[in-house]
Amino acid sequence: MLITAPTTAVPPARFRTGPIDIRWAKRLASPIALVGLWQAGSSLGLIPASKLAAPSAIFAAFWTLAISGDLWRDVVVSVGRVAAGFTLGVAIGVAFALIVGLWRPGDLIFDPPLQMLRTLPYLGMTPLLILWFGIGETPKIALVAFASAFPVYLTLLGGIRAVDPKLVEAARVFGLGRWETIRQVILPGALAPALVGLRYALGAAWLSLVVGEQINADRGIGFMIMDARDFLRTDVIVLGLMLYAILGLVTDAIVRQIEKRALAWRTVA
Amino acid sequence: MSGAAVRVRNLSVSFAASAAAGLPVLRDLDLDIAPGEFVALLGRSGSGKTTLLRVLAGLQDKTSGTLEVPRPSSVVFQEPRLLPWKRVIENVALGLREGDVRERALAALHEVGLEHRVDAWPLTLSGGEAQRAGLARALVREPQFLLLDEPFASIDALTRLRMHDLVVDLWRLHGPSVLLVTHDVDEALLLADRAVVLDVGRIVADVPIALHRPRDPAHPHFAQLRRRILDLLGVITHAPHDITTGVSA
Repeated sequence: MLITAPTTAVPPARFRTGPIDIRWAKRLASPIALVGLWQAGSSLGLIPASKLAAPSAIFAAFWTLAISGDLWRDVVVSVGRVAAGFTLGVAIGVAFALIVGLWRPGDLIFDPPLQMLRTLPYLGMTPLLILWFGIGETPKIALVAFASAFPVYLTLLGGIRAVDPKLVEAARVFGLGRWETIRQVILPGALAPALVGLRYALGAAWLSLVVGEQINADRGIGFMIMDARDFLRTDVIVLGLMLYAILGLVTDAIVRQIEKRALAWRTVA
Repeated sequence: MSGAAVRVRNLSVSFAASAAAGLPVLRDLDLDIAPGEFVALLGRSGSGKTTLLRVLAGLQDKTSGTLEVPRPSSVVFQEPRLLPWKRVIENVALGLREGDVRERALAALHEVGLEHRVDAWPLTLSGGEAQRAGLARALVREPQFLLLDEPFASIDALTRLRMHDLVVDLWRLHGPSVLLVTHDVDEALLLADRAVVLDVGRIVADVPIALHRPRDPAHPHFAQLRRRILDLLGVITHAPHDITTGVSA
């Protein structure tokens, strides 16, 4: 679902010949050509609209739905579900990672069952979640939360365990208590892997939302897509998929920005 | 304290693994260090010198014996052990609570000549700079007892010479008792008042270094002491023109 972003490395000077970055233009050429071919194929009737709508039709659908406000209503609902589920899942993942990583009995009590739960194909849990929570918002948010919790749990726990014991020992020598050591040494040391986990969690959150929204939703991007299927509106279906992709990219970029700021100490000149 | 700042009597340390093999790491060890005295602790790998330092620093438990160590004490480790996510000054000020913490940390950084790197990230420091930051972090606590665990071992030779001078200057200025663990005989002879040689968990020699500072390795007494200590460490130095300069760990 997440598209790999083009590289942001500074291109060699020979490409920077003017205000327009020629390398970027070069990289954009083939996608634009592809969309052009797609449009041509649709216009010539080679691609039937019942299988795949033309780019122009997709844009028209976007325009109509944007003006009517339906689009934004569905986007807000979907973003709200991801925000709620992701926040809940991350909170649970962080809480268990701290308990298991910092408290020895916690390791024995919680880690084995969590490692077992982790292997469950969580996307297949939807029927069970519906039986538990009904068909409202709760099962969708629960699915997103379940998906988000494990990447954070595993990476933060791994990070806590990988903190150099020599640094912990030094903190003790220089008079830090247990809580100060956790706050100033262990957690900052575990932050880098935890942020990678946060990005995985975000990907899993969007993926599980897509699945969760396709069942018994009356609002949201998933509802928009399922509703469009009933009317053979491939333009709206593709539009919905693109919205998921864009939202996934945007939220991923936000976490990457947080990463850049929080881990500034790693950028060695 | 009866004259001694550090007082160790009948100290024994065993690890679970070594006890099974019947070999304590430190056996019935006595050691005194006077206030303001600079003692170098020499020994081969596995002689127990690092264990002794760790017990004195409170990082490891003794099995038996008595121990008097003045407080505060402070350690400079072989690896600088700076927290990479804290700027240099925050590392120096780590765990400080009393007084103007920033001012004290700045003063310590000034003393070690790192005033231009106050806000640097540790990963951007050179090896010598990082070790000086480690020294500032130890000194800012105004220790009565300073423990140096091979702090110059991983620094290039030229920087090491400058660090030697710096350590001697700061020791004279602040006057703590110092225990320097090293495997470099020349380093011990350049810096310390006394060289204590450890072998298989026991002190096998306690050699006063009665040389004026700054010390001259070309001085005949220096060469004589070096030969004696190398002998104690089991390095063969019978050849008259031996050019051995140290014992590798």
